[in-house]
Amino acid sequence: MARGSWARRWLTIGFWSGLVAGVWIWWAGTPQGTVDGAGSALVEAGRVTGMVAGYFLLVQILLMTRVGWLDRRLSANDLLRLHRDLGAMLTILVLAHASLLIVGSAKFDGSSLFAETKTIVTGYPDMVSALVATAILVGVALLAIRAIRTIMPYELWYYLHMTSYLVLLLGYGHQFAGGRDLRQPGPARTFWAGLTLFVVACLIWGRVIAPIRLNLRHRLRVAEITHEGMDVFSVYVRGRDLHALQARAGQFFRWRFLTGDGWWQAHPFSLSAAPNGKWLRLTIKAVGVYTEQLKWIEPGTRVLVEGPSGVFTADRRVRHRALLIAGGSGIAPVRALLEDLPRGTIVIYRASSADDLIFREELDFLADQRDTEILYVVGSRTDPGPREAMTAKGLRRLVPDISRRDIYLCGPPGLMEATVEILNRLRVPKRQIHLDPF
Amino acid sequence: MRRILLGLMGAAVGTALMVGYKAMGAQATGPVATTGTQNHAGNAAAGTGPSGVPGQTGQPGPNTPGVSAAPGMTTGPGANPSAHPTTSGTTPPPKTTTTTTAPPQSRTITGNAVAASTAKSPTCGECSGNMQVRITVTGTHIDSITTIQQSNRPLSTASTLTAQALSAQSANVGNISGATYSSLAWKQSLQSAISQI
Repeated sequence: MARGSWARRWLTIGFWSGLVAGVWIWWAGTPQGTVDGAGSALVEAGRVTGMVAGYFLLVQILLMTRVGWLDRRLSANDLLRLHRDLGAMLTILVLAHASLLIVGSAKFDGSSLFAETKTIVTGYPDMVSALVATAILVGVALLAIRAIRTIMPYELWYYLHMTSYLVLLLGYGHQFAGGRDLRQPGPARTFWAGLTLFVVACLIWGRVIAPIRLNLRHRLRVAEITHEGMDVFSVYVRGRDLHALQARAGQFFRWRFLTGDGWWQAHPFSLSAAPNGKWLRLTIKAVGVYTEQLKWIEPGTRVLVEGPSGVFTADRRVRHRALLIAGGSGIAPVRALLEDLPRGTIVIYRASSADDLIFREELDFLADQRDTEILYVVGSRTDPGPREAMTAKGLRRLVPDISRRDIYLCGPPGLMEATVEILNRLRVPKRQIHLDPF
Repeated sequence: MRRILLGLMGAAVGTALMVGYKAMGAQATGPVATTGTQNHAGNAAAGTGPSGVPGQTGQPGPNTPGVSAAPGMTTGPGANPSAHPTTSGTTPPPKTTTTTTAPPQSRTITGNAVAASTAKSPTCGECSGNMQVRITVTGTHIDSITTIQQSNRPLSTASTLTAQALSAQSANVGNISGATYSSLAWKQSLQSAISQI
């Protein structure tokens, strides 16, 4: 049952072993007693930070390769947070690496910082491209700061962020040509090159080969569009061999609808019904230009997908019973997941008005069939009903055994944060909480 | 945010501790040529040289005995050339040599001593001492490179450069990060030795 925690444990062990191995390369290459002054101390510190930064860069790219073994073990939420935190650390470590080596070498050579920078950039192989890589990395990191990111159009931001792949390409050379511990053939060099090769292989597999194979096999097409409620519609997708698609309820795909003006965009949407071998269904709320256009998509339009991804699935359960909490269109994966969960499940469906409720008939039908209780909490945040229900006390009254259940939570960020806080107050263990933010 | 700060603090503390540990037992500054480094360089040379020219090394070189007294040498006993297999001249010539032309003789050439501090910059903050190499050549092939004087830091410079220069068969190799001027001095000394071939 506790598949998730094992996967996480192994991935954590893998991460730390790689880091230790990277630092060990430096450790083994630095004889005892060779650090004997401020200059050499700074240079050695620069080398350590360089190894750690190089390792973080590889992990950072690996996290985003979308290879199945990673995407099916870590939730999108975890991946995103890890990517953000590692990215910030990576940027600072790279800057530390460069400045420590410049200041340290300048101390050795007795030259000015400016002269030393010039010596290093011009005197070492591949250092110019490393400099460019640093500039790109810093630029990408600055743009990723929330205040700056939100004022840019998403697509522009996305393509600028994609330039970070250049950091790997441009920074690769100087590690081997200028790095003391990597320039000579030996286990260290083999290990480091192997690690890089592994990440690149995962990247090519996850981003190119796996999606091509998947789409060649299943050849998905839009079959039907149905109206679900105010501004909400479902897209039914059919294809070949769908029973062989290894997707589970609660997971998501990245969908690319091959229409004239939208083919270049891929967006993640959860399945809103458990995969049944005949069709896939995704449910979309028309909130932006792109989703508004999808509403008018022609049946027969080809669809390319990447996935399945995500761990918002029934096999992550650590307790026998579950409580599903959905807010707004967060009901889509919850509705799918409900099919995979045992009797006695409780669903809390939070919506701001009765008009916003979707899948009502389906939910009531499933509830009837599966002995599931569905609690509709409808109203604005300030209405007495919802205000009382979404508190620690209210939740405990609705679900008395809440701390002995797995909680699956999907909804807008505000609801997610508030609910997680309540769950913490109710002492629901962290491993019982499963999140799927959108 | 908290994780970022914790991670960075961990990296800073860890780096400081590791570098600090490596600084334990460090020698005082001054022109030092550690025995360990030179043996290392010698071993690397011994491993690389013979395989490059099979059947030609180990010939007693006529110049071998006279070059051990380089001026200003501060080397330890381990750097004594007589302990070095490729320059010792004690190996008997192989009996199987049946070529009509005499095989080229192996010679030993000592390069100039070049001060690390004057290789490029007139002032050198922490580096001091000279770089000086001795090479063994057969014909124009460099069989081995021994560093007989080495500036006080960084101590791994010579062994790294030796391996590279041997495979490149020239003094035209990249510098070592953090040891720019020591690298330059070492390469200048090697170049002066090569020019005597």
